Amino acid sequence: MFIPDRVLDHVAVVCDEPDLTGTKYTLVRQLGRGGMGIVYAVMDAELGREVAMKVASADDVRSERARREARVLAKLEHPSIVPVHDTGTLPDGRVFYVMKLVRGERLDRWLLAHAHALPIALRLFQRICEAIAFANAHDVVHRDLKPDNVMVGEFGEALVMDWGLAKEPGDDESAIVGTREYMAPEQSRGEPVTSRADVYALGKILSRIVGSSPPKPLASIVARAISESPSERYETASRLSEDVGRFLDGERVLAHQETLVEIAGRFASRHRVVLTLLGAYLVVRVILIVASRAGRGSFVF
Amino acid sequence: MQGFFERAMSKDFFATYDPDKARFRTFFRTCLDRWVSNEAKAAAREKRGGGQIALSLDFDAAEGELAHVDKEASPEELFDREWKRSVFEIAIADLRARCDADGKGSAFRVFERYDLSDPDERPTYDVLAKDVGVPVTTVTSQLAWARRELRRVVLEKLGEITATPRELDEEARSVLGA
Repeated sequence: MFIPDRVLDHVAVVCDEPDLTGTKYTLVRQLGRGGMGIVYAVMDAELGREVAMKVASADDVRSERARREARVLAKLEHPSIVPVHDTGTLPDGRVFYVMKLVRGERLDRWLLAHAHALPIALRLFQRICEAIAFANAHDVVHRDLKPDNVMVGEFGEALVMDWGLAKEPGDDESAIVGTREYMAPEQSRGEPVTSRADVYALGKILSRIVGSSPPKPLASIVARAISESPSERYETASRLSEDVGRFLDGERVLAHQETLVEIAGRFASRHRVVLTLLGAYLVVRVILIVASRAGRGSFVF
Repeated sequence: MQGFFERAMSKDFFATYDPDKARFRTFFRTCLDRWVSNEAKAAAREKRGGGQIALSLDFDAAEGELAHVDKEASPEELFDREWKRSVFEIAIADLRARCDADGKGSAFRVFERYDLSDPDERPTYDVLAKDVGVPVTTVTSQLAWARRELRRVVLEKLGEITATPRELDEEARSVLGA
């Protein structure tokens, strides 16, 4: 038999769609395809809402990763970590889990559209740090942090996604997993990784946020976060977030050794209103002194 | 193409396949390229004064084969599409045989009437249910079953021509889905 192109395209798509018979979900549309499997928008008929369903490719490795990812997400209840609602196996044998459908855009795309909103982007970065700090405190290392794996929701919230490569205590660490560009040196060498590997990836994300010519304190924060040696990086994602917070609040950044000029500049920037008022007062005062002397008047302000 | 397969089988081409060196699809493509090149050289020799053979030109068959070819597509794209078409043709034939053998002929007929018909002529579930004489819910469940089985057969066929789980995964990604 000969299959015409249009029929071929249709059959190839429909036979790859998840078989949802016997579940409370109906297929809405495909959202994306990744290394682990395919993510679909599905309708939860009981609750009447759309959710996201990640369906793992039908091999043992990816099936196990999907199960693990669901377990990790269930363990990490945090406002900046996408919550999992359900998990199971479809009639076709593929493992799935259902999570919140995040309406928004990926951080990499969001950054392109908000290139001039550095303070907003830095506040968003702090929320990513807080999510990672929370996971790390629960002995989970994400290991694949990158802008593609962070969603910016419609209320400006950050949600860390794709925990399929996350490491938990007792996991086999011999396999090199992650994305090369954001991978800590020890991770790319296949050595055991700690939460400082996530700090490295966060530093890489921060580097993407601040661009090619950032203010010196921010450049120092990035440099410290992506230090070659894990011991020279920030101890935790929280410490990294705090230093970014100091920059935003005009305080001294711990990663940066300031010069006197920078200290003066930061002081001026932080106390701009007071200094402006003081300057205005001095100018008026000088004008009045000069005016009083010129007019031999006795009035002194 | 038929000539290629005849040559491949008689010369035992595929015995030289080494899964450590390349995907089966790449190996197959290389064999096909080599065969086309040899055929072209042979044709050129004939043209320069080789054997005088009466050619039987089947223009209708040639037109039929070329009618569906996208003229803008590259040779690689054409090869990939024909590869995908071949995989599905084999899998659907296999599915039909299994359905007939297992008494699931009605499920295959529903699948055939719905998924294998031209998109412009595809019936609604209601129409299909009336035509086949079953409830709509049976149509949807039979369709779901047939699609699930077809997917399983496609993966089974790909598993036969791939050497590693990784290669199977790559093949499945290129053949299944959009």
